[in-house]
Amino acid sequence: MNHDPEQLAAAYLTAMRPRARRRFEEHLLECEPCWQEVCLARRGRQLAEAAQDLAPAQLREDIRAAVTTAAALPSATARSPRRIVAAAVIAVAVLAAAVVARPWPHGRPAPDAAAPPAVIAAAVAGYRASRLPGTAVPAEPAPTLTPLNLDLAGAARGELGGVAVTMFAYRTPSGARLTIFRSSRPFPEASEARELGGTDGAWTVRSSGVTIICAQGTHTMLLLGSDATLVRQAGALLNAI
Amino acid sequence: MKGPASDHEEFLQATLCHADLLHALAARLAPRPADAADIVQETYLRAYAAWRRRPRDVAAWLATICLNVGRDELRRHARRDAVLYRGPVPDLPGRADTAEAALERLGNSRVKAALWTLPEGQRIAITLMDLCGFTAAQVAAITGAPRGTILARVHRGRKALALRLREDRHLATTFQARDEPRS
Repeated sequence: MNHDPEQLAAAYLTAMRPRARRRFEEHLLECEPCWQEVCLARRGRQLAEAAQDLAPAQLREDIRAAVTTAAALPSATARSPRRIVAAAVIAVAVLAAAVVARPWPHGRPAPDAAAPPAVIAAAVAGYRASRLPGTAVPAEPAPTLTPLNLDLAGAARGELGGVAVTMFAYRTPSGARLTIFRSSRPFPEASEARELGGTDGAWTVRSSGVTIICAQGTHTMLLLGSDATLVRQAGALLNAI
Repeated sequence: MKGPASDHEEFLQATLCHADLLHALAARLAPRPADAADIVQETYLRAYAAWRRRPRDVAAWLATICLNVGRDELRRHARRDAVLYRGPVPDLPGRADTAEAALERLGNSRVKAALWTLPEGQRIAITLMDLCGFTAAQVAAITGAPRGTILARVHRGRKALALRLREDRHLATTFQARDEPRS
């Protein structure tokens, strides 16, 4: 009989019609190559199935929190084209009014219209995924955080939500992580941010289990970490708060 | 009229039951196991952004997104390795990021380690069929490969897995005992 044992065994163990299956099983009794193929593949399948594992218990909560946060963002709620157009018209009108009326009398830098709040969400996602924003090596030196046992683990220059940033990633020996994003322009303030002092002061917000502090003054530095105390200590060490 | 709140609750209700399936897939895509959870989260965020389509086969739809996110992550991982500081920095992730270390974090499982030695196509096909429970037709739709190719990948992957773990006496004994009699 001219046949391909590999092809037949693959079909037999995956999806073979009952009649063909019965025929092949009869054939198996007489054909050693087919029998070996089936045995080996069946063993492999059992081994693969043994590698099954469940998602970490926390994962579902993290997913729920992330989706709920995304649902609260304007980009998630205004998804229809009509809403997007309406939002764009309103944004242009507000921007024009802002240019005419100069409505930024206070010291805090004006939210950058070119930098959407998505940059904050992108920073959180970048932190959570330990993802660098690009491939270029930063020109500026990394801030020193060794008094907090934070050692530099990685750095890169690139884009975050359309904003040019430099990122420095740190890690303690115990595995706690902290990330710093620097930009030449102010980061937009998150909608639920809490001020840490004055209009020129830093602001902070917690999103999806990540604490964010935006440095005082020019608001061009973000510090992110899961450990709120560590982020605050780093902020204090860098005179960011 | 449904508001955004009910929209995202509906999404979570329809998709959260597939978190284990997606995690199993993400764990076979991420170079580091710690990244698997991030891949799953990113999958859910992308899926939610596209939820207005209301797919018929939610599990296969999520797996398709997860596969794309995982491949993006693999590319980013390769780029990230290229820009890490070398030399004076004492705590580079290099040592912890080796495949061996990653596999240790997976529980030193020989099976999982052997899965990682398979070519990506075989590993993904086996994961989708044997761990996630998809049919060959579904895997073909998810990966975009012809069904025959999927069957071949799964079969060769299973054989390779069995051969690589053949030396393991314990596993060999276990699975020898499970082999069905020939007649």
